[in-house]
Amino acid sequence: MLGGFLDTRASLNVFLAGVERRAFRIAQLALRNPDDALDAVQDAMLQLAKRYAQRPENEWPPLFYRILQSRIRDCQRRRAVRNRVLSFFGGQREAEDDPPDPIEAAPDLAGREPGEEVAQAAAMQVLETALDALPGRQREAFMLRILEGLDVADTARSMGCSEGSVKTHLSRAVHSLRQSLGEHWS
Amino acid sequence: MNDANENLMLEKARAAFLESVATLDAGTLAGLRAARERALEEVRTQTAFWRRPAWSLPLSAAAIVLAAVVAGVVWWNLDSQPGVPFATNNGEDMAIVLSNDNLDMYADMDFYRWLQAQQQQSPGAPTTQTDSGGNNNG
Repeated sequence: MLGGFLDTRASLNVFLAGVERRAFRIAQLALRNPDDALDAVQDAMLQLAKRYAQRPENEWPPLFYRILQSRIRDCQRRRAVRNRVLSFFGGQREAEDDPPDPIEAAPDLAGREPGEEVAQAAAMQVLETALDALPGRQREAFMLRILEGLDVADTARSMGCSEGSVKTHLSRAVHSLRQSLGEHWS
Repeated sequence: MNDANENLMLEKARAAFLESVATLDAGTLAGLRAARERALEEVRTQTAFWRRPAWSLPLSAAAIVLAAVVAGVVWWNLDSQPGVPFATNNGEDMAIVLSNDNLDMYADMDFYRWLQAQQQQSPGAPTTQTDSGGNNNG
């Protein structure tokens, strides 16, 4: 029994260590705020450990991302309500919720930025801006299927929908991204 | 954009994403590590109950059964005494124990003994319950 506990703990540690950085970036892309993203990832880790640690390991990725997506949506809902309340009372939206400046986010097409690292950072900024413009479900499908690399079945489990819906959302997302990224990346 | 270009775009998107993952700052990595440790601690806490020795389970069950039997026997004995409700009887006992008058009576016990002796020596004599006269003779 003790051996099983140690195995579970070690396996969960390996799984979480392998997934935590990508999960954080996915949450950050969706929430546009590092603190909220860290909170969402932490909640997902805790819930996975609390509820599903005894489940087979191959079920962990979709379960983890399902919890994470749920936390992301909760955060977005809270943020929307808060913004509505603030706008009702004449308050200002928080700077963190402001949409990114497209001029600031756009890469320097003249190629004045030196180095591959800077180019990658600029490419990521363009991708972030393009992802931000997608509807929520399309963004989820793209991030889980393409960025995280889950297969269609696990993506469907993570999103809580059918595989057909995943393919539809993904197809539309890729179509939209082709429009917005094509001119920069083609 | 044809399929090849589309695949190229997707590969480039994933490469940019992974690059951004690889260049996360130290503060974020520390936060993620701490979050993971908390999650693993949750596993440890949850499984602590199940890590008890195997012999402790029947022992616990036996203790529970024994406690239930003792409680049943005590209850049966209390219930089998007719006419004296436990709560009332217990309340009267507590009143006696807590009464200040009774403590005074024990303090004046010598006086009551003297008063009784006086009554036995002269049965016709009137008796008084006053403390003042009696204490002076004691």
